[in-house]
Amino acid sequence: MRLTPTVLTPEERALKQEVSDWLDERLPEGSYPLGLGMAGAVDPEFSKDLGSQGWIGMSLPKEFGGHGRTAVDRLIVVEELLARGAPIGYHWIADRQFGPGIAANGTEQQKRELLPGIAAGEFSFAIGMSEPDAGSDLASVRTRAEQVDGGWRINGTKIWTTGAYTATHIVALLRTSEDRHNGLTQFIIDRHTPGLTVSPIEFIDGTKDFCELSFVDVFLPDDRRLGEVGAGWSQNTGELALERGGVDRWMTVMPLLERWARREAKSASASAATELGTITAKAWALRGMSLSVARMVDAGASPVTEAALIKEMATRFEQSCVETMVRHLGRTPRPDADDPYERLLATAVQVAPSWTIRGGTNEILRSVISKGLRNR
Amino acid sequence: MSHVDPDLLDLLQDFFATEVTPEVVDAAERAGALPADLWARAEAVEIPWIGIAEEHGGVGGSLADAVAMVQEAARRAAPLPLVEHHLAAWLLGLAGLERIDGPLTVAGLREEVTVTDGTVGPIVEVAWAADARAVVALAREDDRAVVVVLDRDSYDVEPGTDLAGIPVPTVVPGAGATVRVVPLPVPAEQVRRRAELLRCAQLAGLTDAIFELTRAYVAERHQFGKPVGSFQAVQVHTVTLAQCASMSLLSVDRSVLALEAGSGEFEVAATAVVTAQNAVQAAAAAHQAHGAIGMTREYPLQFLTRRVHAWRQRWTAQPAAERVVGDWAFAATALSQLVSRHHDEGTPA
Repeated sequence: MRLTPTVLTPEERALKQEVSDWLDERLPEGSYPLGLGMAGAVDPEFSKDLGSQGWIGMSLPKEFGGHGRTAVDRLIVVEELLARGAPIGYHWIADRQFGPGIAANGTEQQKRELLPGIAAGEFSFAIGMSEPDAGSDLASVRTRAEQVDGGWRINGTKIWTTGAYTATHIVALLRTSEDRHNGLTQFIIDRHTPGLTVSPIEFIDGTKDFCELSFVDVFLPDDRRLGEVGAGWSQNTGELALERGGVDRWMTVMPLLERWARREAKSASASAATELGTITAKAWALRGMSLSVARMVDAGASPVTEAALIKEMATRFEQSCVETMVRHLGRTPRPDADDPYERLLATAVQVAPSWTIRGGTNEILRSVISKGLRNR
Repeated sequence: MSHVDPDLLDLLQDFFATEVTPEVVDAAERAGALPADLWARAEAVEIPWIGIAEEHGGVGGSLADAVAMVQEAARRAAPLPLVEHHLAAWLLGLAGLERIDGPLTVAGLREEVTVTDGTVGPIVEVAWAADARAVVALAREDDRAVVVVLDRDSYDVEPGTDLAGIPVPTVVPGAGATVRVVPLPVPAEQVRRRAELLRCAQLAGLTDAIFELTRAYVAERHQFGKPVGSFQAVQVHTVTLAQCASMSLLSVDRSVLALEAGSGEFEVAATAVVTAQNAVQAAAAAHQAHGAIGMTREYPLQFLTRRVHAWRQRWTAQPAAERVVGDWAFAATALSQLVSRHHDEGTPA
């Protein structure tokens, strides 16, 4: 699987500099809670400010409030945000996934209603996919949307939905017929729809962004349906490709690595230098891969296998980085430490297992990659 | 490798696929010598002179072309001193010396060679030196970098063989032998960087060949009534191989671009780290996926994996290479800026 090398154009490098300068000013060190990648803090004010810079929903069409920019442009912005552990939690899912999803599959009315708010950083989306009996085996989703007069009636339970509590919208994959793959349809659901109850599920580190969604006779007008009836599975698979090959899959640990490198630079032990060297070289190599995949997307390709290939190894790389930093700390980091680096490392130790699970477990990804390799 | 002429790539792939069969590789190893007829056939299509400027006796071509040449040769484990010859011929050109007909070999890239009283002492592990027409060495004389040329009649060899079965004799200059010493007009680091990039290209070529061989094998080999590649436990290995190959090939190509655009110092150093680690990981994964057949001399996997181990630390120890990148990271204002740097950005102050 040969990727084509690419570098940023002068315009792209100017964007990188512009974003970096703006973030230096908007997010001075210590002014925000350091986050781990896409689990960055939920900060609607920051999302709105970022949106007014034109850096959310960049690829969305201009007529709907977007900016008609490229996947590479988005990679540049995201890279600067993740490097700082920025508070991106509020807009992340909408920016990465459902903005493009609605632009691709939504009706004219849905685009007019939702895309400008997404690009402005005003809307926050959550993903209603997993269920108690449908995790890796997503096609066994059972939460049902039953056709009724003028719309649909929803009953069932979604689980492991990050950010649902603070979200304005949820996109849910629901069963509309018994056909395993062709019986699934996506719906856009207002977070405050009557009959929908959102309950936090306490996460391993004590945070409460993880949620369970309970639907009891929730009525949705038909204009809340995203895409054709039965097209949910293929729409969902397309989104997963967008979700997987990005820099967010190896940059979760970047705010930690920055601080670790700064600490070690003072003592610069030989073992720290060689380990940091390996980590740096791999990060450089993975970044090159993500950039090549973004160029492929801009060229109209659908690099599903490549994206899965990157995610599977990038997430393992992130986990190994945490392990290296903990070993060099020389003791177990404490969640109540005064030092923000140590506190964040304590969080990372606890949440790191989720990195090879969310967005497709590594086991599922290996099947996707193997299928892709066989069909070449 | 988008900037290599597809016709050239075709020629290289055809040549090595046709001429370098496993039987040829095996015979060369058993003979312990350079297969002169194979070298002659490579010369006939000018392969050894790709990437050497015409005014230096080569056929021209870019660094990318030379990288493609050694990468394609490595895929087939070609028993030819192509990297060595290229570096030797390139050094001769740099130093303003006349072309010497091949095969040539190179020295001084690992242990430092020192010129004292106009001559040099024994040089260990000089690949193919017995069969070369000359050894061209990177060396030091007092405080300056020099190029030293030892014609074949000026040295003896003490035999030695590396783990891949390639002859790596010690070169022993004869008493009173004539040795040419010429100043090197560029920093020695530039020579080492080119050598390192070519070695990375070899490792990436090996890694990709190991991946392809394994992918084909696990699709053909049946156990429990189905291809072993359909078992998830085996897929772990093929996925690892695909990742290693993909990352190494891309890193080499990015380094070529970087070296062409600027110093390429950071990019080549990072590529050296990942290509060595990936090659070693790939070799292990491929052996595990193959099972017993991969352990035999008659099956070609071992030609590739033994070369991985022979070359993973050729010229530079892995920890030293990792340390170089680590020092870049320590010196960087921000790690994220370093790993996303544009390749013509300079060194940190």
